[in-house]
Amino acid sequence: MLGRCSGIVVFLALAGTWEAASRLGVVSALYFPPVTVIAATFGKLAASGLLPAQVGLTLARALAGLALAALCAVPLGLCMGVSRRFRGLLSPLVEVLRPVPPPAIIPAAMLFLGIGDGMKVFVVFFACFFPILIGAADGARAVAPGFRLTAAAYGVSRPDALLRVILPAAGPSVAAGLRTAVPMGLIVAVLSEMIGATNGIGHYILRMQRTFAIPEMYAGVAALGLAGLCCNAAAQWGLGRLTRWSGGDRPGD
Amino acid sequence: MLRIERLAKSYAGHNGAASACALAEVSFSVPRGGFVSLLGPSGCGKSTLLQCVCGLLAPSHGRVLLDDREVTGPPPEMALIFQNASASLFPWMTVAGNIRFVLRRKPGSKKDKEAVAAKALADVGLAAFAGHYPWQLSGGMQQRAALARGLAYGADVLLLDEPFASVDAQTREELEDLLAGVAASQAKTVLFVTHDIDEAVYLSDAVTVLTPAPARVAAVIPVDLPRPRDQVAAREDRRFLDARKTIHALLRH
Repeated sequence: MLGRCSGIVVFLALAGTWEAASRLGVVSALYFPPVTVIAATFGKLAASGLLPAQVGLTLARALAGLALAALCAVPLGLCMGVSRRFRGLLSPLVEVLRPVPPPAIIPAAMLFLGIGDGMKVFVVFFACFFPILIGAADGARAVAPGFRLTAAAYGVSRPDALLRVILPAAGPSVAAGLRTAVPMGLIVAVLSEMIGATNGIGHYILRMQRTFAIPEMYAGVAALGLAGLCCNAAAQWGLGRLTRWSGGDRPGD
Repeated sequence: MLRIERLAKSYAGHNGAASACALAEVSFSVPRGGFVSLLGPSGCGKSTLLQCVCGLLAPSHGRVLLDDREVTGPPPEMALIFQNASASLFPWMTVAGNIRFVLRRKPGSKKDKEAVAAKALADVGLAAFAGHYPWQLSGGMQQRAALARGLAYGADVLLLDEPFASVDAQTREELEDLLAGVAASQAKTVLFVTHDIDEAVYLSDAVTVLTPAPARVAAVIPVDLPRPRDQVAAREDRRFLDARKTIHALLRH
């Protein structure tokens, strides 16, 4: 309780300092408009539907890329985790592609996908794919041998076991990969909108900066921050529910 | 009738290491409805042998015959119950869910399977815990749940791999009597792996004693005690003590 209160105090103190510094001319009010002005602008733009629409576009792209990545990376990762042969087949490719920072592929993606939604979804897909793949592969590899043996002993077929035993058993690790992928997907979506787009919150922030609409720019940043916060909370909550059996409330065994 | 004929198992050595021989040559049989224990020093290959018997591992030589048919994969007539229930019961399923899971491939309506699961849980005294998750149960109750799953599977042959090794002494006696009771009332053929001489003698019609690895059969000791047996009276019986002494001498040398 005390910690939470002090946290709010620090936050308010910083906002107050900004406000005062801007109003008193310590910093340029053009580049650092008073917090109250930014808040008012934010309120106006949020109410007009402009910010929600732009953030919505960005979130839709991030979510589409994330969903595609999960759809591909989870099954591939599980197969890599359970099959040494499959792992040998894919590992070299993964090790080469994984260290590539996702923004580095934006120029290339623009060449063959243009600056439309497809390009952004692809770049998000690329960014989210590897953390999810690694999470699934590590998780599947670490599944207690007892679970696999039990499934085999009771006549569960291998594909069936992959879906109903390996996937849930690897669930916490898959969830960890997804939790890493969510903020990365959002970052890369915004970045791709800044480099090549005609809408979306990334594009909006950059356009406001270039037209010296500085309170609007900050309002965009705030909206993005809020969206990120919500995404992470939603991922935390949703994935936590799916892997509740492995949570902290279970007694040790 | 379960016949193990000249069974041998070697593991191929990795990276130039010499291959390891777990089972040299093991032959014995379990008559239909019989209760046979496999007893041997730890590390002598008991678990390997059990996995070969139920078709999870392919033997290097020899074969396993169940009613004169060779076992090449896990047969539906066998249920394997593992040493560690917490690594064998799926923690993301309830106790009843664990049972329904192994019944998925079996014929019969959903309602029939519910009834089978309920009966199996009642047989092991867990009727009230169908909706619990395994990790909400004590070690002894988890082992009961694993036994219920094996019973519900409808197999004539129960293979148990040191199932009571990790529960306290009192729970262990309860579980031994529970197993002896259901095995007798449901006419199960039981192959019971243990490293505990008293447990083997108390439960079995015959005890197959193995040598240290690579395992061979040192001797088969019949236990001629009337059933049902009583934990106190049986253990004071001359025949119990004789069998115990003989086995002790075999394992010692």
